[in-house]
Amino acid sequence: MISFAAAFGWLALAALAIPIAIHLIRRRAARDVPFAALAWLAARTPPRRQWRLDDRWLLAVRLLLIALLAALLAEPLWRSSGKADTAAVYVAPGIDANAARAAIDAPLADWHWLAAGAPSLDHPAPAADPRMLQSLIRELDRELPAATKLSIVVPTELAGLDGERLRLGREVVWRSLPAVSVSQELAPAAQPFRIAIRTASDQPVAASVARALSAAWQAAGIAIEVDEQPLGVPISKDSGLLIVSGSELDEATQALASNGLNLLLGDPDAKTGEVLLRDADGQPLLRRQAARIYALAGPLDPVAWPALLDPQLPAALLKLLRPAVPPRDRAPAVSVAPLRAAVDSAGPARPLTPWFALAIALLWLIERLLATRRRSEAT
Amino acid sequence: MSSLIPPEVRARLKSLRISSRLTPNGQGLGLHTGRGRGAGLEFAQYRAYGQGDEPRQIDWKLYARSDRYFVRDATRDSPLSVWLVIDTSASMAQADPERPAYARIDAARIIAACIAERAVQQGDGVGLITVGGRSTQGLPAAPGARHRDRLLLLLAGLVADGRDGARASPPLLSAQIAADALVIVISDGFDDSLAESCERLAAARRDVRVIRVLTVGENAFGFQGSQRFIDPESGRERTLDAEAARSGFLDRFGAARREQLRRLARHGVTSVEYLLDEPADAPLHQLFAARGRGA
Repeated sequence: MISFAAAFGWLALAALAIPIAIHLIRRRAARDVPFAALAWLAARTPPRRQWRLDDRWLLAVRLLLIALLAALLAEPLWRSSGKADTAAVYVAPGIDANAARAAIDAPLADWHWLAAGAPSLDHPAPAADPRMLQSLIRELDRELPAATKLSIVVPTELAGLDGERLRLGREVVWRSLPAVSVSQELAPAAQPFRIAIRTASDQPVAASVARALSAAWQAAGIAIEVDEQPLGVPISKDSGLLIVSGSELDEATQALASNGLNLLLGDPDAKTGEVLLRDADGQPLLRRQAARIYALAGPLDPVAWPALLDPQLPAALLKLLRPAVPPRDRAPAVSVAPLRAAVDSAGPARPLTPWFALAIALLWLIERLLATRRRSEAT
Repeated sequence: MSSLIPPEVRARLKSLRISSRLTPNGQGLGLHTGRGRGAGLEFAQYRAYGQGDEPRQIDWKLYARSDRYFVRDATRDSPLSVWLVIDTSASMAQADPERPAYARIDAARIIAACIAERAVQQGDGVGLITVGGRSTQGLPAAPGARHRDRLLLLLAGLVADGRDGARASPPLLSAQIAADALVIVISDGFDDSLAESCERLAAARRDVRVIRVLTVGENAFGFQGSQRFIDPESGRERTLDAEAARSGFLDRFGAARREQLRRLARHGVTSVEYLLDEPADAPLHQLFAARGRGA
């Protein structure tokens, strides 16, 4: 079965008009005939414009030659059509193999994990990589013979989807099952951003500023959990940010900071570090003291340091603390079922280009032969 | 021997006998029944013996019956003088596209060679005049193989080159061709003045035969597609579609051909048409078969 990888190559068929035009033009040139009985030829018979073609064989060979050239540009491929009754089931890793076997009634099918190398389902499940899922399915569609019935079992919710909807050249049985274990990859969006606030008890203003900051972030659509305690109370390990009124840190907190905790210090003393934000007058607002440790340029007190009320501060801080959330790449499996498209039909393909090139060379020889023979006859 | 005549044509020439409707009046001994009286096989008359007659010519049996001397006279067999008139106008160079090497003038050459060959074998004299060409060439009528070779040499050099405006003035045929001669005109018949001089010659006691050489294209008009037809003599041209023009041309030209045949016949000129795809001796057999063995 021949298919073409670059169907737009057929546009070259427009060149078929060239030999036809050549043959028409050469036809129209009237030949000279000496004719003494001219007086008996009717003068009024006009030379009828006849769309008749000379040298039909030559023209046919030339047309065929151009059609083959267009086919060559369209990159012909040969696919052997496999047996019609073969079936293959691919199960995404993360799904229980027995549940998948129960869900799809295809006892004679080949069962594989949907993973690189397509290991058999009898083997233990390979590591799941949701970003590879669509790519693997597209590859399957290409590689499997066109007649093979393809079934795919995927988790109910797919993650790591790319921007292009799946479009396959065959009908696919698309079944979704709940995944056995929710991988870590799928969790973080659901977790709220934990903020711990530790202020000295003699600075109630600092606590309210910290609360105002978190309220501003909450208003921006971030799920926030606030843990406000006096200074010295240990913080939980899954906190994302610690807001401290002073610059003194105990050892436990420093250990957490090196472990992924962000710190925001209201530290009027330290004036070193890279300036991250300035106010309208060019005065520093926010500094980076070390990795994950940010320091305000003044105390957490709007009365003592009015620049704290700068409206761009909460957004800038949020940007630093929580980098932009990656685009949504997850969807229910049902909603991303593969579409049937006129994608190059499936199956392992062998390029036919050399054979076409050979045929073109042969035809060209024949064309030259016909053309020169005709010329030598004319002379 | 000439190489002009194809072997198969030469083989058929044996049965050809060139003869004239008129009784020749030439000198010498020939095959044709002459007007003169003299020695011969065919009895003509008895006449009284007179001075100058040889005694052995006296018919002694008649003397025995009538007691007077009579001389037995026979019709004398005379040689015929055959004149070839060949048209060398440019239209004679026309050939069929299918057979470009065989133009009308080539056919005329072969026909003329056949006549010369045959006439010399019969002991007749052959002469040649070309008309319609850029120049007029000719040979007086004379018998003999050497004269025939001279004539063949002249024939081989004939060129059909007479165009309008470049044409020798037509020779006065009646001045060169003696009375009672056989005149064979080989032409394509597109020149009316030649037809007129044929009619005048026929009226002036010459046996005129016309062989009109036509190409296959003129007869069947088998051209196809758009063609530019060019008159070789006037240079006029006409571009038209051959298929569309065919029936009209065949009707008109066929009528013109029949009209010319009728007109020549009315003036006592026998004419035949020769198509270029026929063997070269066909018109000769046609011209001289009907009359059989002499008049």
